[in-house]
Amino acid sequence: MKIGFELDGKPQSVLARPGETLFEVLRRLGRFSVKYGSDRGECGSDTVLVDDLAFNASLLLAHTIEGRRVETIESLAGEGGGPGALHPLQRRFIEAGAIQCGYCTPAMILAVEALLRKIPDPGEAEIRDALAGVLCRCTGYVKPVRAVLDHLRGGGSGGPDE
Amino acid sequence: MWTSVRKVYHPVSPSEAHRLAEAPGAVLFAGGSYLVADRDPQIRGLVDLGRLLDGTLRCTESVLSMGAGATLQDLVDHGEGTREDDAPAARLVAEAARSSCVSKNIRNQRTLGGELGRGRPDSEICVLLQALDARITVWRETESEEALRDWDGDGVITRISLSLAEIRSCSLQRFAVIPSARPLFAAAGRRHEGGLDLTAGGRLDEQLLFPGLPSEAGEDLLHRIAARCATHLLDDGVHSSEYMYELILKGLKRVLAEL
Repeated sequence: MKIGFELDGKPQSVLARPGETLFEVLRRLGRFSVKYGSDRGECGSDTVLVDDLAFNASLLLAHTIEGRRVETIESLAGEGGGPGALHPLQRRFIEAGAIQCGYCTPAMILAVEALLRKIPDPGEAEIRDALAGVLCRCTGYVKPVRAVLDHLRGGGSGGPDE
Repeated sequence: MWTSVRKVYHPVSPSEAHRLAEAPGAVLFAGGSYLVADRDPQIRGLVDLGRLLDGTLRCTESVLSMGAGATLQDLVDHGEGTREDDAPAARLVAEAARSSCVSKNIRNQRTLGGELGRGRPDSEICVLLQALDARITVWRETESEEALRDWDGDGVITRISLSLAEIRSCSLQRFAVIPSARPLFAAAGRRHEGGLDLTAGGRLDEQLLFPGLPSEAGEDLLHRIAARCATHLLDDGVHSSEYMYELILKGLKRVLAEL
């Protein structure tokens, strides 16, 4: 079946099989920042934004994204700073040492971005709730929360971080 | 890739969806988080309810009405916007929705109708809605309304409603190894004009309902309920039956203490 959707700001039209997941479609389209962790949604490293909400791409069948807006970390990187520039949240994660192997980092940042689009000034409990579906293999959970809190003190969602 | 799936149907009415789902190998598909995770190789057709189900939530002084297409996260958001004084049951529904699925990503996908259809004994939202005597609108050939407790699992749930006016007080208790783990035991209760209703779930082989209990349930009655629950325990190889019995009893007592 033919599926039309928006991917990182650009219209896409793909052929997908009835049982194909969004994760598999994204891989075919070269989006390797969306990581494989589990087919059962237990890991969350496959997080993407669909119409501003965070979902696990491995649990979404491709046909369900017809007409919807899908974003990966590639859409955040470069925001406001041109190609190659990092999103303020990405910079905060680096500065806070909130990355170790980096496998779950795109998912964590997207989960936080979804939260900030809905609640620009969340509390720590809301940050932890947003991140609860993303498991870190390196068990680094304190520093990502700290990175988000630092980001909030530095200017809020998507804004300047200096 | 869920390779056994050959066809996705897009019905235009709940009755058509019900008819399509009766075909061999076909299944109703709402949020799909359970189905896609399981990838049952016997399933060949998905009857997609995505464009069909209403997901609106409405709360008045007397009724909380929830579209079956509402996601668990919709329930969380709605409950957090409801003052506890106005509708404690709505707040409790939100808490139960959150604890039923710790991942916000999955809560964004999982629908209330799908959760009830799955009917997991360790789903707190299912345990709570049974205790609160939720009513459901179900489509088979035609539309009908019935108690969730009486539902046989057939048909398409389109709406769930709670009569808040009949709920004097309600409570939900859960015990898990860590807050994000599925509950070993969960119990919910409500006090109403006719007495007391309790439901139990968690690591049981089915949800158990104890309706119409006397308002002041005594120690003996609680022991009898705990003993009944204990006969439905699933052995996890970790927690002894003695430990689980005490946990169940404590859970039931806590529910009663909060009512």
